[in-house]
Amino acid sequence: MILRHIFYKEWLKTRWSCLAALVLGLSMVFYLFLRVENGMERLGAKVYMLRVLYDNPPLTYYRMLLYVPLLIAVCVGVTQYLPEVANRRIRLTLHLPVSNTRLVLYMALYGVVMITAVNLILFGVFVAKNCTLFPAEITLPVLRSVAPWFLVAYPAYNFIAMVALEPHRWRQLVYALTGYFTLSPFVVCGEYPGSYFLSVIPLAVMAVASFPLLLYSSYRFSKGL
Amino acid sequence: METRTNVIECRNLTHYYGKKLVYENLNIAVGEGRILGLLGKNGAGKSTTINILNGFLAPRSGQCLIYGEDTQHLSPATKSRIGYLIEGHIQYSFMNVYQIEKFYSGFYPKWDREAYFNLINRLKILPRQKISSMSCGQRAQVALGLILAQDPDLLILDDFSLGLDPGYRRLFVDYLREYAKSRGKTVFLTSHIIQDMERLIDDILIMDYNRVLYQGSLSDFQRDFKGFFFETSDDVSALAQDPRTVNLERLNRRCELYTYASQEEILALLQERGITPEGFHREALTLEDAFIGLTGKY
Repeated sequence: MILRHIFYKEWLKTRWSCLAALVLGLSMVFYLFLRVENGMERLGAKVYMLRVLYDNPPLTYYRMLLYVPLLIAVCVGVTQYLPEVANRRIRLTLHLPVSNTRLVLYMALYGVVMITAVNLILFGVFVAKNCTLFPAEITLPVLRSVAPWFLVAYPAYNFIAMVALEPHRWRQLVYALTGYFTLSPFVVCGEYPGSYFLSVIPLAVMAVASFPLLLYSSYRFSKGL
Repeated sequence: METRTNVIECRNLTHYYGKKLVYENLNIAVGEGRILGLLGKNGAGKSTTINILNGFLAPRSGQCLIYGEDTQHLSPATKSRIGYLIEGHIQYSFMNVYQIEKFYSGFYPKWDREAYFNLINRLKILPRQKISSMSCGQRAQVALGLILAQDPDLLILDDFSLGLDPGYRRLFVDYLREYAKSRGKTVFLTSHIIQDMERLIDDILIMDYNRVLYQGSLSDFQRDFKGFFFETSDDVSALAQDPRTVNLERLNRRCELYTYASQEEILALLQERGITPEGFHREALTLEDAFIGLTGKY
C-alpha cells in the first residue's frame, strides 16, 4: 500500500522524463540500425560483416549506444530528486508516517525499477534488431560490449541521488567528482567487441555498494548535518 | 487544579550554527489542546525550533519530546499524529489537488477526504491545475486542507501567514482556530504577522537572540506587560539600567517605557531618578506593540 503511494508520487514526477528517455533511446537504437542497414546496402551485407569481424580495429556500429543508459539514469535521477531537494521539499516525504529509511529505499527502488524498465526495452529492441541483421557470432560479443554500459546506469543513479540528497555543497562536489572518476573508466567503447565485458563485475559491486551511501546522504539531510 | 498532559516538551535545548549560538537551555512545554505561538525576530531561532521538533535538525544538546517520544526518533505512529506545515506552504508542486489528495490518503488511517474537498472547493482553480501554478493563498488552502484531512492531534505550522494577503490570512486563522478548539487539537505555530496571532493563540513564547523573553499565557502577557509614554528633557539613561525597565525607547523628547511593573512603581521610579515626565500615560498595547516593546525596534 505505502509502496504503491510512494511509486505514485515518483511516477508523477518522472513519467515525462522516463517517456522522453525511452523515446530518445529507441530513436538512437533505430537510427543506429538505420545506419547499419544503409552500410549493408552500400557495401553489401557480407563486406559490412567482414568489417565488423576483421577490420583492425573492427567496425563498432553500436558505439552510439555508449551514453544512452547513462543518460536514462541522469533523466530519472534528476527529475526524481530535484523536485524533492528544491525548497527542501523532501521534508514532506520524510514527515510521512513511515520510517525514513524505508521511504528513501522505496524512492530509490522506484528509480531502479524505472531505469531497468527503460533499459530492458532498449536492450530488448537492440538484441531483437541485432539478431535479424547479424549472426550469433557477431551478436554475442556485441552484447558483451554493451552490457557494462547498461549496468553503469545503476551506480550512476545512486551517485546522482547521493549528490542530490546531500545537504552540503562541498560534499556534493566530492560525491559528484568521486562518481565521475569512479565510473568514467567503465564508460568506454573498446576497440574489440566484448573486450570490457569483465567490467560488469566491479560495476555490479559498485551498484550494490553505493546503495547504502544514498541512505547516508538522506540521513544527513534529515538531521540538518 | 486542572492538569494537562504536555504534548510537546523541550528540555534544556541548546543549539549552535557553527560557533553562533542560537539558544541555550531552552525549555518549552505545550499542553494538550493549547495553541502556542512562537514569536521572534528573524534569526531568533523559530525555524530552528520547528526543525528540531520535526526531527529535521539534531540539537547540540538537550531533548525534545512529542507525545513522550524523542523527536530525533519519532515512530511512524507518532508522526501520523503530527500535521506539519512547512514555511511558505511548500507542497508537491508537480501534483494537482486530486493527485495530492490521492497520494496522502494512503498514509493516514483517519484520512477525511471530505474535510479536504470542503476547503478546496472554495478555491477558484481549474480541476487539473498544478499546485505550482497556484497563488500563495491557494497553496496555503491546499496545505491546510491536507492537514485537516489528516486530522492530526498536533499541528506544527511554520510561518503559516507567509505570502498570504489579509483575506486569506483571516480565512486561515479563523478556520484553524475553529478547527483546533472544536476538536481539542494542540497547535504550535510561528508567524511574522503578529496581529494574526492575537486572534489565534492561547500561549505565547517570545524569543530573542539566545534567550527567551517571555513564556506564558497570552492573556497574562497582555495584562501584565505595559507601555508607558511620556516626554522629558531629562537624562533617562539610568532608567534603562533599572531592573523594572524591560525596554526603553527614546526619540528626541518622547520616551516609551515597557515594563511588568505597575504605574505607581514606574512613577516612583521616575521620581527616584529625578525625571520629570510630561504627559505621562499608559497606552493599551496590541500584541504587535507589546512584541516590539519587549524585543526592541532593532
